[in-house]
Amino acid sequence: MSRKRRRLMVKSLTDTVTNNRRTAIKVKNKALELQTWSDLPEELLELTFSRLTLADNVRASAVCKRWHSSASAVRVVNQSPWLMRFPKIGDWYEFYDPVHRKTYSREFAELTGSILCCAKDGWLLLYQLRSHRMFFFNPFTREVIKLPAFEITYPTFPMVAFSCAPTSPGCVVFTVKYVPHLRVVISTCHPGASEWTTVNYQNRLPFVSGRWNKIVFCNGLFYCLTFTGELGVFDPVERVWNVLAAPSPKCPDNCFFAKSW
Amino acid sequence: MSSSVEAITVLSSDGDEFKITVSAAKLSKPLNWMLEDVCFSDDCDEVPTIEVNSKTLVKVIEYCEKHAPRANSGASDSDAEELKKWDIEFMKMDVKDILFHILMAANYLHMEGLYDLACQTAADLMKGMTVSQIRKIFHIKNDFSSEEQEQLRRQHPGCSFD
Repeated sequence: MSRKRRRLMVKSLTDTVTNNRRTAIKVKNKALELQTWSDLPEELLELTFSRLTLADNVRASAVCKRWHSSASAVRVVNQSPWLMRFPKIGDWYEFYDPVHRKTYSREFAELTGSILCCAKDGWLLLYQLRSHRMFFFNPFTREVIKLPAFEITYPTFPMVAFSCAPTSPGCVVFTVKYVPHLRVVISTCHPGASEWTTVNYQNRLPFVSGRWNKIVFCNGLFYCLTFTGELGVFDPVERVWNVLAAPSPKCPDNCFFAKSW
Repeated sequence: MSSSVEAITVLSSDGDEFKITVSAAKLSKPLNWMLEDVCFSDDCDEVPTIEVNSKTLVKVIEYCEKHAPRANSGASDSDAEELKKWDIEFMKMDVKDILFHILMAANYLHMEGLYDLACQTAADLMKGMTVSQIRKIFHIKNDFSSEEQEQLRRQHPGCSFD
């Protein structure tokens, strides 16, 4: 920074009033003293709130309107993902916050007898074996959103995915299952629907394994990659299922990478 | 004034005079600019004013003087540990009258360390507190209507506000 510019900065910091300095100071000070924590500049509020855990942030946002807007602004953006661990026995679930290196435990009796299908956008999609129901669960708010009954016959558990949070308008739940005799069964549903829509598709490609280990939702389409390197693509709006031949990963047999697909 | 100056004099917003050593002033960019100006200019009879009240400026200077040796030369781990303890003691201050102004001053004087410390102190004061406790600590008036408060509770059913 040039000397001249520096000088200007210093001038702006410098009170050059000499004669009526005391009066000016009095007025200024009164204004300064009257300021309170609710007048703190937005950026300072945001910096402070970004150091809070989610529960503390929510409480701070209920203090006053200005705090509400600042706390809400930094709530999601700065919230790093947490890991959720399912217990082998009992209803106590562990949450690990990697940023603060803290573990939290919480009891969710409502999840008893349920298995996790998938998780996205802070929501879990679970399947309750007893009632044959799939339901969404938000571990932060404990909100439950039920889906219509959906019978799953063992041992072929379908692969399940959902497009976005169930509170968003375009949420679609998607399941895909391979049935011997080269058939693919796709069922879809959305929160608020009275039943699942199931369609069978002929499968033109011989799947060695009927398991889609990975489903990815991207730009309105569900992509399912198989062990053998085929890519199934489902358009939930048009209800169209296509199988594309994707090049197999160049990887030796049984290596960890291939297995983890 | 020669360049061998060791301290500069500044005025607080209340009009009181304060002395800051050169090494301590280096913790703040604006103070550093002021310092260079005082060192190199000819018309140095003008005392610069800092828009920080006396009560706060005392604390800011105290912080600068304590942190200056470490900031300028680096320090061992034991010193860092000692400084951390000092920071905690230093931050035990009135939330409404001082901490708020310290945060504003640290922002205005571009003092990252103090700014971080003040933000963290404020955040620590909120941790685990209920909404009404936070309002009491920070002297904040509730400007939500009862309907709005009810709506907030509905939005966060998993969060206890009391």
